[in-house]
Amino acid sequence: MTTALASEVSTPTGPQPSRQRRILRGAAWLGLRQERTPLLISGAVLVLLCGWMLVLGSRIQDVVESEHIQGCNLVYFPQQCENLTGAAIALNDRWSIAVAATGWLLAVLPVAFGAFFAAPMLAREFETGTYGLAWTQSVSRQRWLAARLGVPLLITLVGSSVLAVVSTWWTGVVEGRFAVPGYYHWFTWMSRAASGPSVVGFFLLSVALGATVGLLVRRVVASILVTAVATLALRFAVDQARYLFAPTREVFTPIAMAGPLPDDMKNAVLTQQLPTNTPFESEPVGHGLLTGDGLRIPLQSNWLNHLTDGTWQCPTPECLSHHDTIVQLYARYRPAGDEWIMHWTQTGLSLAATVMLLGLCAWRVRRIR
Amino acid sequence: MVDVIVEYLIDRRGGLSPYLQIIEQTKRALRLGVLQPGDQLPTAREVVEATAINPNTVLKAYRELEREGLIESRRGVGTFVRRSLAKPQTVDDSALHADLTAWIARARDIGLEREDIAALVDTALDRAYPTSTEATEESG
Amino acid sequence: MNHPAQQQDRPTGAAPALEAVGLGLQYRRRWALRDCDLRLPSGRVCALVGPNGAGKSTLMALAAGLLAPTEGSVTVFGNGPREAGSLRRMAYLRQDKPLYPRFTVAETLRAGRELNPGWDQAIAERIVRLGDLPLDAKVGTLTAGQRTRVAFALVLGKRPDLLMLDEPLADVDPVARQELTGILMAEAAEHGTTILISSHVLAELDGVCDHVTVLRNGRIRLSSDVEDLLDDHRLVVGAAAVDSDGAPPELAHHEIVELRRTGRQTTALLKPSGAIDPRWDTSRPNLEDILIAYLRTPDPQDRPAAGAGAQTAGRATELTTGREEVTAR
Repeated sequence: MTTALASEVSTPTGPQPSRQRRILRGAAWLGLRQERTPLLISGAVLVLLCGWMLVLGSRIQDVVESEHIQGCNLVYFPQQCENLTGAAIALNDRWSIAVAATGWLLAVLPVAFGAFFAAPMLAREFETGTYGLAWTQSVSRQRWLAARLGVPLLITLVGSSVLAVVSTWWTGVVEGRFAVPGYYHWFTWMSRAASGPSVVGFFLLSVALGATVGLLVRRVVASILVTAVATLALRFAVDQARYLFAPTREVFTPIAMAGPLPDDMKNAVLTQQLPTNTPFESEPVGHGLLTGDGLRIPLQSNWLNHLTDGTWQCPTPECLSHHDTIVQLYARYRPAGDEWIMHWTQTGLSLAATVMLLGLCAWRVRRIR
Repeated sequence: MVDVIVEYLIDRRGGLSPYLQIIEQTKRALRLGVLQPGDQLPTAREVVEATAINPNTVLKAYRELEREGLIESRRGVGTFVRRSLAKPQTVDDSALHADLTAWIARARDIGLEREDIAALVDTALDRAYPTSTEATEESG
Repeated sequence: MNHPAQQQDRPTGAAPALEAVGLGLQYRRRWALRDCDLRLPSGRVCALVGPNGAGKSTLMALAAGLLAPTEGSVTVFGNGPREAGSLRRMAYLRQDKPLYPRFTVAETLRAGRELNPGWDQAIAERIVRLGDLPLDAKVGTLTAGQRTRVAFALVLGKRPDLLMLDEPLADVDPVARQELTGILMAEAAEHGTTILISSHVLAELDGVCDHVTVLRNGRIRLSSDVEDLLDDHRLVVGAAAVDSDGAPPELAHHEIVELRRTGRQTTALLKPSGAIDPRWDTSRPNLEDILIAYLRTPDPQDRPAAGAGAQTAGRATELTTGREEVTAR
């Protein structure tokens, strides 16, 4: 920071400034200059965070390769990994806290950026009255707003793209290897919040939302609080709609269910996972039993008692009453490939909300009196 | 840029309007020979920057002086003195000065206050020069 | 340098620098400005006078496009104040003089340069240098007087055709006040800039303005040419016998702006019509005397709780024909 400020002071500011030095002109220069300090701080955070993810991710990757546990992690632990248990668990013990902390940080970052960077942007202009300075220069309010938001949005786009690349790689490295539930699969929350283009969408949405709140609330502290809450709410809404374009698939497997068991059979059972036959790394959405005449009986757990005769024990009274007509096990899922549909949906929704918020800002700034 | 020959000093507390002060001070400079034909007067910008008075006042005063034939403005060049008010007597007014000093001494000796003397002088001046500055201002 | 007289006399176009028609602004229940009709021809230096809360800042903010009127309209050189052309032609120095506190002085001037196509860096830098302000000082660290200077540099560097200054010199020392006023007048002389300047220090306006508009309680109390004001008013002092509360009979046919009595002495500010009774000691008032008289006495039309439809006839007049203002009643 200090060096940056010092270099600014020494910038020649004579009556005839050299044209070459002026990268940004007009209102855009103002937009950049006003947010210089917070943008530099944000840039420093970005560099530190990316550096941290690259360093830690590389070390995790090194351990995975040197211990040959590529295919073995805490979530998937196939037969051939039996004698590598120690290495996988040692890896988890060593860094699971750091990984969890990084995951939380990545999740919180766009919200914090919106609240602490974007919300004060316009709110401070109104709190200190400097909007009146800008609005009485030769540029229209709309052009001022375009510069005031456009420059930070552009820089956010670049910065968050860098972060997205690094954090997507990082998520791939840590997914499933640590006892951090958010990082178990592509669809668990830490993974889906901080990888792919979604990262860029969330950051842009936060900036637009912070700016809008700042413009409406016009007070710095209040804007920060409102932005934090509103960002969380909007993020939740986008998250809820993430599968808008990823309909579930269904797979059917023949199954035979047992009737009421005689008492002496009750111990001769083994609890096993149902053979749902969903593809590897697909997100389970629901499963149940299907009778010959099309009745669906949903099940809660996918672990059932497997009897010695190959049949499965009914876990519910409804199952019991239809056990002789049940022919198939159905399982709904989303395949791993839907991860990208999900990310682009999240990104698209975020960008749509961003555009709408910017439109609201443009409308609002015209009407402020 | 030419050297500024006259400098106007505007007294804001005195009753005289800045307009009249500029006219008076220009005429005084013309009478004293400080300003001579061909000399350039300061531009309105120079006057108002130094005195912080309204530019229209300066322009109006210049117009009045021009109307009286004392100065002329040449388009795009500036405002110049056309004729001087310096009279031979002004150069050698020692006799008049001595008379006046003696007269004032007499007035004081018979007990007149400063204000009384000034009033006497004013009255005499008004009688000798009927067109007063007041009239000039009203017409402007 | 061109001759100033030509600069001043150049054609300035038909549209007045500032024109308000039935202008009003309501804040919740209160009218900050009401029924304001004002016409400021270009090239004038107009003082906007009135007690605090009279609507001076409101009028300027409306003209600058920062506020939108509740009723009526305001135009700048014939166009709405928010149009890009108008924004370019006017500059507005707000009373609180907002500046970006984390900008250096140089950066503040650069902001002016970046945001204004007609920017004049030379005049802006001159104003700053005359105050011995270091260009690399942060604006937030400057004193109020120094900030005023930077704000001045910003509005003058913009090279506006209409310059509105709201209590501009309240916090600068007398030397700087004289110097900045001088620069202001010089700009007006050289570029024919129309200046609207508000102040409640009446003395600092004397000699500076050629027009004056008095605001009281959100309405225009008086709007006139300074010369006309001086010519039209007389201050009379006398020992008069008066009927209970009315005017002295021998003054009755004059229009009395303000009448004050101390013991036997009566002092009145008049708009004489015809000769004044020679028993009264008559003198020419200065601008300050006249303005104070108008500021002290309420407008006869200022009725509290005047209904929205209560239109007042001839409530205000053009600056150029200001003498109708009072006689209309």
